[in-house]
Amino acid sequence: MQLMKIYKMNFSRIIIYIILIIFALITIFPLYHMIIVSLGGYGFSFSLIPLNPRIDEYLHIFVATEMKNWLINTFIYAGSVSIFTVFLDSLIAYPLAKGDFKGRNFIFLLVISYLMIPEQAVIIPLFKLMGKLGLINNLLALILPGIISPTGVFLMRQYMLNVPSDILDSARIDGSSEVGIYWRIMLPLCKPALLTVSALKFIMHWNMFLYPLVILRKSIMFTVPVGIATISWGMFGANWNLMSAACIISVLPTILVFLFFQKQIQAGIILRERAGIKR
Amino acid sequence: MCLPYLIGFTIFELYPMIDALILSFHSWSGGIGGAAFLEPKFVGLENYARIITDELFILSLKNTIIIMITFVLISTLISLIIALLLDQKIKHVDIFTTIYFIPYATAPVIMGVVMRVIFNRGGVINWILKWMGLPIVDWLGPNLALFTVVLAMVWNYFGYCVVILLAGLQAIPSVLYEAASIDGAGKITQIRRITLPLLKPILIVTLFLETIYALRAYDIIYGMTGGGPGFQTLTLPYYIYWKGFESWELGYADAIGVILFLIALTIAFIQRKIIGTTTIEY
Repeated sequence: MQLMKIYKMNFSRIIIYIILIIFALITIFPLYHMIIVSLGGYGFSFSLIPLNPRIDEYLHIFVATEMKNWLINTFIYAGSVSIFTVFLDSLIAYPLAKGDFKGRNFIFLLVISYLMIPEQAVIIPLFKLMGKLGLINNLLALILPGIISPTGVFLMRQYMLNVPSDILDSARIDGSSEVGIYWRIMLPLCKPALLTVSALKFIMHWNMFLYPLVILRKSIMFTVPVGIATISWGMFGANWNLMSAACIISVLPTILVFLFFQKQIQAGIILRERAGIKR
Repeated sequence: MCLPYLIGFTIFELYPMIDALILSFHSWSGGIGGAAFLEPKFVGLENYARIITDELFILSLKNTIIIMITFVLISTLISLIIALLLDQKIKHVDIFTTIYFIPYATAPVIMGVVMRVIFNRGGVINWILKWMGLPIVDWLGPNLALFTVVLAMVWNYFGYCVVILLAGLQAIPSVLYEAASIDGAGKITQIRRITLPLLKPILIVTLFLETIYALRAYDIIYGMTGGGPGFQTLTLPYYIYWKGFESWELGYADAIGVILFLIALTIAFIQRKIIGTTTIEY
């Protein structure tokens, strides 16, 4: 009887593992498929292991398209957003977390409310604004709005709420200004939060599509996703080997950033999405 | 100290929001490739009057709603099951969540392109079906394209939901389960009587996240089907892009954007209402 029970327990465990592994394989499969196709000919049949792996397509894409420029553009865009956003966001997050002034909650809610807006709803006025500022085809048009990040403010404020006020008070007694406290005490203490927001913003903006597509109208100015999406509907659409190689180049940087910061990213996202309940 | 951010917020977020509303009462068209623009011209409610009778608008709204319903159903079912399984004291939970979460780090438009290759008539899915002796399926054809897009969206997003749901599950005190199993409650009863009621707030949050994700679906569709075949996978966001930046009727596209915003606002409002009435008590 006891033995029967143990046997049953193990059996259900195995089933659980099998289901979880199947879903893991499904999740990995498109990425794996991409690698295989990019390395080998996509003939009449598909093989799970590349028979004659070759990297021709990876070399070809840099010759046949403006991939080099796209990579540089995307690195400049996503890189500068992820660096600058943490300073701007933390600068406002500090008084929102620790300050004591009228309208604090109002400002916070105002800033956060932008999370609710679908980007497609403001794409046309943004396009108009950038046209007026003369920033069409300019990476600045992507970077400037990118660093204004409600998610960054939210996560940073949440983190700063947990910093004990005593530390700040003793600095105040020593005669530090608020900006001095922010720069010398708050920022170093918030390093984990800064890194999380940086990583999140890098992934988000590297992957951004609609807005860059609208703003960047010269192919040499494209970001990687915009460039690949465009050629995929154009001359290289039928060349699956080349398209797969291009896609690998596009997803690799963000996957690496994710794997490196995955603990912080998951914690940050859980914090953000659960916020609706706790308030 | 708030000032730098608030200046940026006013220029790049608040002003466009207000301008979106103003522009929706204007007719504004661009030249070829957007090279030359005419000045926006006030036309009152004309854009909105046109929306009501626009068949493509109705179609894109219909597609968006179909995507929303099927996506939320499939995604919730899968991510809830996975999260519940991961909560059964599994070893290496973090390896599984990391794998499930990887699609979140990939650009949806790129994965759309990849999915186009995979689900193509001569793609690997049909190759597998043929290998198993089954008939091949036209995944991106007029009948199935919308459903295939939903499958790709689920692939892209279910890991995100798993992580959030799992965090909710792990917050439930294990004392409750221990007490229940002393009282002789089986696993299924425990899930029904303890887990699901206590998970309700997080589950609702997840449902709304999925709804909003489906409402905004654009990138993955651009990569996968380009809105086609015909207009089979045209969604509201896609229609805004198409009207605005392909046929350069920017005023009209903007009015559709305002409708999209109102839908998002309504969803957010309903979410607030529902969550306001549920509290977590352990």
